[in-house]
Amino acid sequence: MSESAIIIRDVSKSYNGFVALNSVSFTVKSGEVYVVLGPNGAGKSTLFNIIAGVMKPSSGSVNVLGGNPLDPSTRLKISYLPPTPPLYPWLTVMENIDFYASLYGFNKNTVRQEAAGLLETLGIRNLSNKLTSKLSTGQSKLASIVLALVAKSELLILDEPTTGLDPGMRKSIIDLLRKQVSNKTTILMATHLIDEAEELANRVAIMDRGRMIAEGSVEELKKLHAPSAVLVIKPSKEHLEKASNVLRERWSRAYRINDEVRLHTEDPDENMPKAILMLSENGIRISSVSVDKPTLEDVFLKLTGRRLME
Amino acid sequence: MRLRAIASFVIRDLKLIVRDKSLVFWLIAWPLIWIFMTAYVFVPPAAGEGTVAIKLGVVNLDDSQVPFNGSLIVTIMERVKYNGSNLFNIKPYYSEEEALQALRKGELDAVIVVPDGFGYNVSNIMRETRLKAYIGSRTPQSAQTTSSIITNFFNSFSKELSLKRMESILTIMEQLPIPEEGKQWFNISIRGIMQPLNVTFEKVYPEAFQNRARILGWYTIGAIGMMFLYSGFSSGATLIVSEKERGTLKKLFSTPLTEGEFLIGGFLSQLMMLLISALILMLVGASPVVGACIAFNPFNLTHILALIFIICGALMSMSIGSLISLISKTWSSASNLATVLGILLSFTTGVWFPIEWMPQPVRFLAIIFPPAWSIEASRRILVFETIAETLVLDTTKIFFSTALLLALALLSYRTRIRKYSES
Repeated sequence: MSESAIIIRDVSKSYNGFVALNSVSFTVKSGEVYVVLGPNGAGKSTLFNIIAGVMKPSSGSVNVLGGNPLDPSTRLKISYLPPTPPLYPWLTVMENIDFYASLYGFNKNTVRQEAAGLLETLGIRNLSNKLTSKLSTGQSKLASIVLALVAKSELLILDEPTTGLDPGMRKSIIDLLRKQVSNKTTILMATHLIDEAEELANRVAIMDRGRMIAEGSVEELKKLHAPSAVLVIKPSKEHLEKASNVLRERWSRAYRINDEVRLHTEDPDENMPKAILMLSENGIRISSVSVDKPTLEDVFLKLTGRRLME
Repeated sequence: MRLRAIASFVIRDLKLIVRDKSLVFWLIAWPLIWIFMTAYVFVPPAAGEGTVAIKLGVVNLDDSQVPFNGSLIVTIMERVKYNGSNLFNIKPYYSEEEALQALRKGELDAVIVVPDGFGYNVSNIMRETRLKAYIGSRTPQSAQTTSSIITNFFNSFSKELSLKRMESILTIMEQLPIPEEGKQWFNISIRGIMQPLNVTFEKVYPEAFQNRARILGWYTIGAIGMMFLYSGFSSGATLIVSEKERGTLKKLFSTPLTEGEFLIGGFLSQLMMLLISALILMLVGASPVVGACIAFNPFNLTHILALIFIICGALMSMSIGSLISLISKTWSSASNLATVLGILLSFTTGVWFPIEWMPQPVRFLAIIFPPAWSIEASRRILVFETIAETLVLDTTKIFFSTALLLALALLSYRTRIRKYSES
């Protein structure tokens, strides 16, 4: 096994004048979990399609597991899971697994045994003979995870594997992926779920508008790009918008996220009383104030000025 | 090229036949409906033995006091039989206007007006006899049929009358003091004048149309052709866009599957579906329920050639479908366009309706449309029992166009795959 599973150099991709990827370079080591974070339209899926051998880059070089992914012999070692479950609705879960396994040339019985174990782990063994048209969105997503894992590939490319799943299902998948890591499988995964990235990733790349804007371990990224602390202020609901605007007059890095305002600061002790005073002077009621550690979302906010889920 | 990967597409899609009701409808039920419609509605079991009854209004204004008068001709018409039934269903009217009103309302097929003095004129060998006939047109077909029957009836009547008058003249001649040679010359001459052309008619149908079973054989092959056109077009047009819309195309091309394996696998699986459907249609067509006569002997090489033509027809239809995929962006637009176009072409290219039924400007479609050639050639073998030697030109044309269309399909699919992979 070579030391680098994926080597991407200056890869660009454009269609009809739109630049989807702009000179992206990175390396993924064998056996590591590499998570690509970015909002919709950042270029993650285009990048994954190129690495999976589905798409040709406009320029740059792509080396996957020591070969070119456009070569079928390289793809034999890759398992790619697109964001939409790639299931045939008129086939059962097990028949879908059989079909894809046959494209890899795997032994049907071995694959069925392996698949049964994975379905059991995910708690959907009872669905193996059910038509996939009858599955819920979450069940389809779980079944397609089994499709990807059953190939026992050296490289797993997972594009948003947990999107649309409830926390319980998501946890099952994360646990299953951890098990894969222990089997020395390299995982390249796209997500816009921060906790998932922090939980699984050895290294994280942040993409925005076709560019890779930062890369490193979670700690490295936080150290380099996140503030020392985050003041989390929860104003009353009717004052949320106003509170965010008032704080932004003084601190440019005040971001409204859901029902709170996150204020990036290097000195929380000094800024907390100032922020509270400012809000009360403007007649804004506050339900709680706390100091939080920065997350990857804060890294992304600092780097792009936008939220990951926007 | 890995056979297992190719076979997996066939296995995958054959399951679709038993699990997708709409596919079963289009592949099997719809053409079967047409076969049964043909067998029990268009060419019912008693076809050719049925009766034609003309609704005839008669205005008899003749009151001649002679044996052969207007009343007698009405009585004769009432007694004319065709296949054991009365040919004319006669309704008397007292005025021409009253009868014509009924004709205009569509209550009658025709009106005959027997004028006053008709009987005297008929009985007098030296006088011309007149009669008026009005033909209605409830439908274009009924007008044609009525006109033909009335004309034939009165032509026959007129001919009989001529012969009777001739016999009367000859009887008179016999009694005159004329030399025997003169009588003979007169006899021959008057026959020539009365009957200048004596034509005998006999209907000769093509062998295939001599009986109902062969007509149904013709239509059974037609139903297969029709199914090939709309289903083959549709499966060819949606082969790639269906994978794209289902979200499976990118997954497929991330596996070790090659473009060639995908195209052969996809094409083969669609072909198998069309052929299974064709086999079912042929078996049902030839079963006693329908009663189509299809001559097939697996040990007859000409019959095997017919099967190859059928396979070529399916391949050509799918290939034309691939060209439709170039102008359709979605599965539904590709499928709808292919189905409509397929049904339309099956009706206009001699696949389902005989080309002779088409208006002249439309007939060129059958001449330039290769799938219709393969269906027609299969028919000639399986229904007309034509020998292979007479099909050399057709075979060349069919094989060449199949190869050409497959090459075009390959190009169009590659274009589509590239486009969809890149989006």
